[in-house]
Amino acid sequence: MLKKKKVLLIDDEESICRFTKFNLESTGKYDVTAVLSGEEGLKKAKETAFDLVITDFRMSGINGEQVIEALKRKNPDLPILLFSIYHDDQTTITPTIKSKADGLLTKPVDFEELHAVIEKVLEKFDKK
Amino acid sequence: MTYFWKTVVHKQYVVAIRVVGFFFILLAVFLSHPVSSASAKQKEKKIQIGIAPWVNNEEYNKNITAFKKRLALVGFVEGQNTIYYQENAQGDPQKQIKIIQSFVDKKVDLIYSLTTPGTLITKSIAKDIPIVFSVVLFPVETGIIKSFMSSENNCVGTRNYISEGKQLETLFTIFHQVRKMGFIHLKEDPDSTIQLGRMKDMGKNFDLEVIDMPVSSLNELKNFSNETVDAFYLACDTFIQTEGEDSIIDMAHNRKIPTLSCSRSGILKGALVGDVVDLTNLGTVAGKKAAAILTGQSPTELITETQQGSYVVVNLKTAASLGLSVPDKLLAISSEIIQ
Amino acid sequence: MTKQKQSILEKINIHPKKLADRILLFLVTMAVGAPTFVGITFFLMTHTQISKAISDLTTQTKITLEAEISAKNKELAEKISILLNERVKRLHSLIVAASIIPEVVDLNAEYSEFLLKKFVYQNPSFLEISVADRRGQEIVKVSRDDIVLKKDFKVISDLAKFADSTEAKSYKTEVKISEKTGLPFIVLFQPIERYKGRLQGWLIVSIDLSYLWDLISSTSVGEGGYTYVVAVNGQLISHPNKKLIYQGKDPFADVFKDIPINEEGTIKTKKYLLTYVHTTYLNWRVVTVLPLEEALKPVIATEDLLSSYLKGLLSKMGNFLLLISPLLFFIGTIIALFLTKGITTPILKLVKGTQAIAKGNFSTRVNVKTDDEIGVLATSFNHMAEEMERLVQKERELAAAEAAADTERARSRELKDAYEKLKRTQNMLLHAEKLSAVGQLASGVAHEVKNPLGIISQGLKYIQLKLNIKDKELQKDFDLINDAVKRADKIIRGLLDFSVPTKLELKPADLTEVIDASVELVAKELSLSGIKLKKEIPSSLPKVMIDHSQMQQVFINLLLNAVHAMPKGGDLIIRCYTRNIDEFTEGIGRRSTDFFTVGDNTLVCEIEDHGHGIPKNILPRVFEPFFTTKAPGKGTGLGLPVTRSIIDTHRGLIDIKSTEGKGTTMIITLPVVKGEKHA
Repeated sequence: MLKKKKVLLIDDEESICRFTKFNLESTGKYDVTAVLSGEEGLKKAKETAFDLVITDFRMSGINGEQVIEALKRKNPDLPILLFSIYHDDQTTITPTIKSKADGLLTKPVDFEELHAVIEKVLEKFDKK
Repeated sequence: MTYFWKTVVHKQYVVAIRVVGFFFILLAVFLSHPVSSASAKQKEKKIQIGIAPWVNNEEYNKNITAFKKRLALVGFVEGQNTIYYQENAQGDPQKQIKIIQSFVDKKVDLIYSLTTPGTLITKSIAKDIPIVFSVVLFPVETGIIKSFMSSENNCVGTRNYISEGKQLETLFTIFHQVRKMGFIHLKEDPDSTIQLGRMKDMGKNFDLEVIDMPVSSLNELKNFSNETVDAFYLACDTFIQTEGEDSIIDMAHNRKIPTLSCSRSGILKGALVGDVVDLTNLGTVAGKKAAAILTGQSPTELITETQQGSYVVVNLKTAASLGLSVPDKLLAISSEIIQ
Repeated sequence: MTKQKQSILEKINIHPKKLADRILLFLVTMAVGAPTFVGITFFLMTHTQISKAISDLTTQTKITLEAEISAKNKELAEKISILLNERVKRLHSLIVAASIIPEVVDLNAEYSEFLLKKFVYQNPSFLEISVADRRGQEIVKVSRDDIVLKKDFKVISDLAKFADSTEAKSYKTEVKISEKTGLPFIVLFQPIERYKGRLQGWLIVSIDLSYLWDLISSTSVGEGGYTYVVAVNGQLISHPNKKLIYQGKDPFADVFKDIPINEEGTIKTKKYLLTYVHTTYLNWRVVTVLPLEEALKPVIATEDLLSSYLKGLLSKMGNFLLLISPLLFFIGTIIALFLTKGITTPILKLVKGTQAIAKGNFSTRVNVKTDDEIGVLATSFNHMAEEMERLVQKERELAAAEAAADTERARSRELKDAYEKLKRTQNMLLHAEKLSAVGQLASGVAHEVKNPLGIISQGLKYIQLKLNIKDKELQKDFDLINDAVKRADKIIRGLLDFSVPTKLELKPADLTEVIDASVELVAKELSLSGIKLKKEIPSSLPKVMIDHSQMQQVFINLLLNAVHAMPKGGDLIIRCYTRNIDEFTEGIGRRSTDFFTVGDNTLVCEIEDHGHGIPKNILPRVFEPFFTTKAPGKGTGLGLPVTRSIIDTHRGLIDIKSTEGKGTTMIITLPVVKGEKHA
């Protein structure tokens, strides 16, 4: 049996956390840690080594961009996905920001798509 | 003002004016053609006269002095406008040739040549220079000139000729028992040769035998020491005139024989008598001729002449030593009487 | 040769074309040439006069001088003549004296000889003296130059006739040349008388005339001149050229041919001036000869001097001319230039005036105040201009009045137009603002809606998994809900696209790139539908200021529309060309005058499909937001409005031409970057 990938999910919407965690863990491939703020997410990341981080963009407290920066500073090899209602309209999510992450998912995203993207990124980073 | 400059610089205008200007310059040049200045007077050229005496002789020198004096009289003054080149060949033909040639090279205006042998050489070399000669006995006979009235060449001069008859006459006047006369002369001298012939002919009129006594040096006189003659004749050639006279006269004295001399100097030295030519006067007359030539006449337009009249010189001392008396009628017509 | 000549002539070109130059040339030539010519002519004339005067003067002087010289020479000749006479007379008297000496009278030969010898000795002029008896037999003879032998005694037969005469007189012979000496001589015969009437004998003396030569030549006749003496018989007695005497030739025999010996006077031959006198006693002629050249030397010298002075003067004149010519030339040029300027400047002013008039400037006046013909011309020109101005003024007034009227009309029209434009703009702005407001609102709403949508989406999956629904029918229902969520998302996205004014990055770009990119993106769709794409695009398009991605969006949108219009395939043509705005056209909701003016360069792109076309009644509404003919869920209805919006921000026009059943053509007009050439 394949080792479960450790996934960190950061979103200030509680229901999103709950549902998405359940959905991903149901695949059996992931071990998801869901937190409601960027700060908490960073704290968790310090404690545990994750294989993947999924973070919302617009949050109270530190926003997604700052999270990505902090995490990438610590571990540039850690794949991070931006998960936001904003698509890359280039105003909110500028190409700079987009380039900091390793992928962008726009809410609402259907689960199938989410799953596929996660796999793809992990695969990419695995190869590394 | 810009208009002014624009037009001045306008190409066509400039060219046109160039042409006009060119013609102008031509005209001006033509007009200002330098006038050939009055022919520059040729610098007064000095007259050059070459004098060839042939030998050095007191009488000859007097002749030359008279010659120069006569020229000076008409304005040809030595040192001012006349230069004289005088060189004596000492009787040497080779030397004479060189001397005359040098005169020719100097492009002298006239040559004054003395004696027949000298003048013969002068004439042969200086063919284009007027030659005045003097102290020449027989210029025609020796071929120096064609005739006395007209030389037909570049020569003219004065001769020291006295007729043989006249000369003999003077002797006869003093001493008429002359049956034989010894004619002492330079061997092969042209003048003397001719004179001898003439003397011989003349002697026939007086029942006189003339004996040829040619010498080329004093030594040879001895050859004739034994000849019995009643008198001697001293010819006028240069040998006699230079070296011979004294010796011959001495000899004559020793033998107590009267001597008839052709030249004045001989009588002075002890010859008895002679009808001679005053060489000084001869020089003056030669000078006259030279003057005429230098002022434009050609030699052939002038006559070659001798002394007019006699010049009798008699030496009473010699006469006395010979025991002879000189008649008055001779003394009356003597020019010089030596006591 | 002629070619060279021609080219040289061309180069020199003495025929200037300009009037000014021609006048100049003429004036300068005159200025320099005339005085020079006059000067030279004048000078030459005076020169001739002076020359003539000089020659007259010299001729006069020559005549005078000749006369003087002749007189002088004659005097000289006379002197000589007298001297000659005296000399010979003296000799004669000597002879006479000798003839009375008793010894001579006694015909004492011996004594006589001595006497004669002495005589000869003392007088070298006596060549020969002899004493002859009555019958002419010489008994004594003495010669100066030689001895005389007895055989030389002659008998002078001529004397015999006098033998018994009582009237024997002394006489002399003619002048002859001696054979011996070659010199001229005469013989004097002096009778020896015991007492008067009793002839004893004769004293015969030959006189050598050469001794007279010194006397004759001692006097100077002048340089080159000489005196000669000739006897009546023509025999020369004395002459510088002794040869002539010997030959006996009188050089002037011809001259004196017809003149008797006793005549005296002056003769001028071609070369010589001769004066001649008669020596009475001797019956000789004494002639002085002077070469004219010599005689007239002073005069000729003066003449030469004057001539050379004249020549010098001439050359000085020449030099002066040479110096003054450039000066004259220069002065002449300046004067000429000013004169010409006086002529040509007014002419040019007139020319300028006419040009100004031609341009329409009727107020020009030519300022030429001179009194001459040109002044008159200028004045009449000014009058003409004045008239024209007046006419034009009148016309203008009429036109102005009309124009005023026109302007009124135009202005009112203008006002109306302006008013309408203003209204429209206002509406658009309002519209835009509305949209903008709506947009902003929509933007915020959209984002908020997205969150719940996201929850629903994830929640659905959650429920599915939690409840482990296996029922296919139930799963289908879940899918329906999911689809609804997706649709909602799409609408929201479309709304966001439409309403949020994104930042435009306008860059000059070649539209071909955009088109090619867009085509590539929809290539799959095209092939799927079996659509044939045709490109009618020139190789180089002028650059247009566009936002690359935005414009791409436009093209994608339009291409997709075309694809959707041809589900069964067909031709899809993309056509681009440049157009110069020459008329006012309308775009949807826009007039070309909004962005363009006549004369602007534009780039036009047409996308032509051969689909079902758009019905006329729907055509005006296609750019309405949310208006769509597609089935619900298929289209947002925002495509064209967004496209139009983008085109608007690009300051371009979009237009549709459509025929139901035939096809639709979308026409986009964009302004070309200023400076780009019309392709």
